[in-house]
Amino acid sequence: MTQLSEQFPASPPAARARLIFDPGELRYNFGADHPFQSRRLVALIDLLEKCGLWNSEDEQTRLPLRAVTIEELSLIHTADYIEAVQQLSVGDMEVRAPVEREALQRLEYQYGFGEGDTPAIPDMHNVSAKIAGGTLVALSAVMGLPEGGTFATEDERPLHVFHPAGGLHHAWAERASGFCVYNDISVAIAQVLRSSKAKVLYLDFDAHHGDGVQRSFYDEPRVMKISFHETGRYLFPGTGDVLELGKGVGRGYTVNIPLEPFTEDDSYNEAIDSLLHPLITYFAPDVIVSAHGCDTHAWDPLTHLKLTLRGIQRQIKVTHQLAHTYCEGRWVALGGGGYDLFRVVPRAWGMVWAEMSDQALPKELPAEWIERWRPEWLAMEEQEEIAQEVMGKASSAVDFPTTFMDRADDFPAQQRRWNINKANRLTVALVRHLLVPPPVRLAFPTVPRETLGSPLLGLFDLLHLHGTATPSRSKIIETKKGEILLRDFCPPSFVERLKPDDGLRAFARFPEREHRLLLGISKSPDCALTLAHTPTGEIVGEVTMAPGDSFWDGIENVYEVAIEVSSNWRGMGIAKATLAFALELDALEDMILFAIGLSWHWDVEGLGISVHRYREMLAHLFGLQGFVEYPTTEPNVRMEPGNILMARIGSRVDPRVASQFYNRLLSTPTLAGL
Amino acid sequence: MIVQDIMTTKLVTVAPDDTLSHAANLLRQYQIHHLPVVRQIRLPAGVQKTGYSVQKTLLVLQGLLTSQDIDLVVALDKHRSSGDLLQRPWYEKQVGEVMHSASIRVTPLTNAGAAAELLVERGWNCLLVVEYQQVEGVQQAQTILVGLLTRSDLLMALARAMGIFEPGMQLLIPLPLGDMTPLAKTLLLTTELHVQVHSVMVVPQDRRPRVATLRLGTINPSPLLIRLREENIEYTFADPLLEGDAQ
Repeated sequence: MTQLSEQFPASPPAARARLIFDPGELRYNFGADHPFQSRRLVALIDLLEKCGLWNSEDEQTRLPLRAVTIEELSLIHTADYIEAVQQLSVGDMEVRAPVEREALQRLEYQYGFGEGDTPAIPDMHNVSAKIAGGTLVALSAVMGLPEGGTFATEDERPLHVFHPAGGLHHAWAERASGFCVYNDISVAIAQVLRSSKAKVLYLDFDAHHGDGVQRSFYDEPRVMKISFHETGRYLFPGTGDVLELGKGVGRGYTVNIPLEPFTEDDSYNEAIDSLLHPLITYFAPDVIVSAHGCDTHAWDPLTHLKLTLRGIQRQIKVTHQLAHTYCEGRWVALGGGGYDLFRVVPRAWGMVWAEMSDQALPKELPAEWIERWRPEWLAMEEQEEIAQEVMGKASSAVDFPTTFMDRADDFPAQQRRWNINKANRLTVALVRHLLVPPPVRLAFPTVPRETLGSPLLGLFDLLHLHGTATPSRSKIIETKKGEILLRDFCPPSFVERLKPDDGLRAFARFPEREHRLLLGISKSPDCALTLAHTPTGEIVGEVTMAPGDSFWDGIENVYEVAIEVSSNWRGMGIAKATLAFALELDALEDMILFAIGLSWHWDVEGLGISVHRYREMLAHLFGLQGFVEYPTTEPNVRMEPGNILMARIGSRVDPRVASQFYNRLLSTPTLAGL
Repeated sequence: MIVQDIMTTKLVTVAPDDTLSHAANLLRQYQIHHLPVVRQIRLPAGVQKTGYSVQKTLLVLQGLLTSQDIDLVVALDKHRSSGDLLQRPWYEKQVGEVMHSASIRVTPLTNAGAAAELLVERGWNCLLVVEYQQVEGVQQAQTILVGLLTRSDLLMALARAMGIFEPGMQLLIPLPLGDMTPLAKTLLLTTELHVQVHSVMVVPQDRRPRVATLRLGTINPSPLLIRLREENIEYTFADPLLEGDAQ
C-alpha cells in the first residue's frame, strides 16, 4: 500500500482534471475576527500558480461555474429558508428602520444566523448559490449530465474536478449551521439522484461530522455517506456516532467513524485502510464526492485532532485510487473546514490538486509565496497560538513552513498515544462489525422464514427475507420522449424531491394531492412504491403495493397492486416496463397479489377507446406478469360489470392460504365482515 | 417534569369488538406495540375538552392490547388441532377477549420520575395515562384515556433535556468546592460572547455537585475558552488524560 501511484496507470489524465474557482466565491467570508476566511483560498490559488501547478488562464484545467437556481436549491432547502436567506442578504442592518430591523433579527434567530457562528452577510444568497453551483457543475460534469456543460469530445469531459470553495456540509434543510448557509454537497448529489441512476459515495474527512449531508440522505441507499471525524463527545456538532446507521431502506448506508481527540496520522490512516476498501467494494459506487476539510491538522485551532500533512496526503491518495478502481475515475473533491488559514490550508488543498492532476509536488514552497503570506500569518500568530492552547493542543512555537510536507520534528508525540489508538481500534472494529461485508447484514439479521407467519411482519421485511439484494434498485428505459428512470422502494426524501407530472391525476384527481399520497405510501413500512420519473424529476408513473383492505382481513400476505401512468406519457410502454420492474422480486412467490380495475377511474375518453377495450388492455398488462382474472363478490368490483379483479398467487403460498383467498373472492359480504 | 410534558397524545386505539386482524393491521401500519382499547363517547357539540388535546369524543378506557398478546394468540392457534371447528381462528377473535385490564395507570400530573420507576420495577414498556371524569348521563366517574407513556417517550425526554438534538459542543466545568460559582460565571460569559446554551446539567454525587455539563451551540469555542482561562475558571474540553483513563 505504500506505492499507491504505481497501482494504476498515470497516463494522460492531467488534461482530464479541472479546478473550479471563481473570484466571486471569495465573498463567502464572515469578517476579520471570524475563523472562516476566504483569504485561505487566495493563498491556495497563489500557491498553485507560483508552483506552476495550475494557471487560472488555462482553459483546459479550469471549469466555469454558474449559480444554482432556486429550483435546484429547493431539492434540499425549504422554501421559507431560501426566502429568509434572500431577505437577510440585504447587508447593513443598522441603516434599516427599527421595525424592519426587528423583523430581520427574528428571521436571523429562526434560521440559525442569530448567535455567533454563521452571521448573515451581505449578498449571502448569491454568493452561497454560486458556491453550490460550483459543486453542482463539478459533479454534473463528471457524471456527463447536461448541467455540467457540454464538451467537444468525451476526452474533453473532466474525470476529476476540485472545487475548493465547496464542502459546506453542516447546513440543514431549514437552517444555517457551523459556517454553512447552503449545503452545496447535498444539492449536487440530489440533482444526480433525480437525473441518473448513479450511486454516489460521499467521503467526509473534515474533523467535524458531516451532519447536514447525513440528514439529507439518511433514508437513501443510493448515497453511502462515510464520515471520519473527531468524536462528538465534546466537539461540534455532537452527532456522528457509529450507531447512526441510516433509517428505512437507507439503513446501513450511513457510516460514521468518530475518532478520539488527539488522534494522530498512523491511527487515522489505520482506520481509513481497514474500512474504505471493504465498504466500497460492497457499495460499488459510480462516483466519489470527497470533502477534504483540513481542520484535522495538529495546528488547527478549532479541533483536537492532530494529523500532519502526511496523514492528510494519505486520505487524498486513497480517494484518488478508489475513484480509479471503482468509479472509472469519476471523482469530485471539495474543500470544507480548515482554520489554520495560511500554514495548513494552501498546502493541504494544493496537495489535492496535485494528486488529482497527476503532478509532482515540489519539495520546497516557493520563496516568493512564503514572503507574501508569512507576514499575514505573523499578524495573527499570537492569537492562533492561544486558541490552540486553550483547545488542549500542546503549543510548539513553530515558524511558518518552508516545505510542502510537514517536518516530523515539529510534532512531538502525543501523550497517551497508545490509549488513543486503542480506543480508535475499538471504534473501527465496531464499524466493521456493524457495516462491513462479508456479513454486511450482520447488524440487520434477515427475518428467519419461520416468522413468516407473524401478522406483524411488514411488506419491506417480507420482500427482503432473503435479502442481500440492494434495498432500492434503479433502471433506465428509453421511450420516444426520452429517458425514463425507474426506481423501486423509493425513500421518502427522494419522493419529496420529485414533482408530479400534470397528467398524473387518476388516483387523487390533482397532481399535488397525488404527490402527497405517494409520499405517504413511501413512508409506510407496509407499502412499496415504484416510481417512473424523468431526468428532470417529474413523476410520470407509479406502481404501488399496499396491504389488501378489510375485505381480505386475516389472509396472510395479500397485497393490492395499483398502477398509473400520467396521461401525457401513455402508449410508450412505461406501464409495462414499470410493472415488470416493480414485480421483479424474490418474495413474489410467497405472496398473493391482486389488482382491481374500476371502470369509473378509467380515462376512456382521453384514449378514445371503449370500456371493454380498456378492460382488455388492463387484463393483458397484468396478464404479462402472470395475473389471472377472477370473478368476485368484492363490493367495489361488483358495482359495475366493466370492473375487473386480477390476482397472482405465488407458487410458494401455502395451499390453505390460497384456498382461503379463493373462498373470500366469492364470499358474501355479510360473512366476510367477521 | 411531569407525565403530561412527555406523554404521547396522538393515539391509535381499538374498540373491544374490533377483530384481532384489524388490531394486527394497525400495529403493523404504525409500527407500534401497544394499542389502548377504548369505547368512544361523542360529546355534545360545543363541549370541547380542555387539557391535553382538543377532543370531540371521550375515550373511555377498557384495557390494553400489546403486540405480544397477538403473537401469543397466533402461536396458540397454530398448535390447535385442525379438526376443532368450534374454535374460531385467531383473526376472527375480538380484542375484548384478549386484552388486559391494565389496572395500574398514571395521571397527567404524575411525576415523570415516579412513572419511570414504575416501568422499571414492573418490567413494563408502557403506562396508560388517564383522568377520572364525570360524564353526563352516567352515574359513576369514567376512566378517560388522555395519553400513553412509553419507555421511548422517557428516553426521548432525556435526550431532549441533554440538548443533543441541536448541533453543538460539550464543555465540562468542574465545581471543586461544590458551589455553583464557576458555572454561574461561565453562563455570564456565554451571554456576553453570544454563545447559545442548549442545556446545562449538574448531577450531584454524594449530594454535592461535582461537575456541570454544558452543551453550547457553537463550532468555534476559542473565544469562550480564552475568556474562561483569563477568569481562572477550570474547564475540560477533551482532555487526553481523562480520555485515556476512561478506557
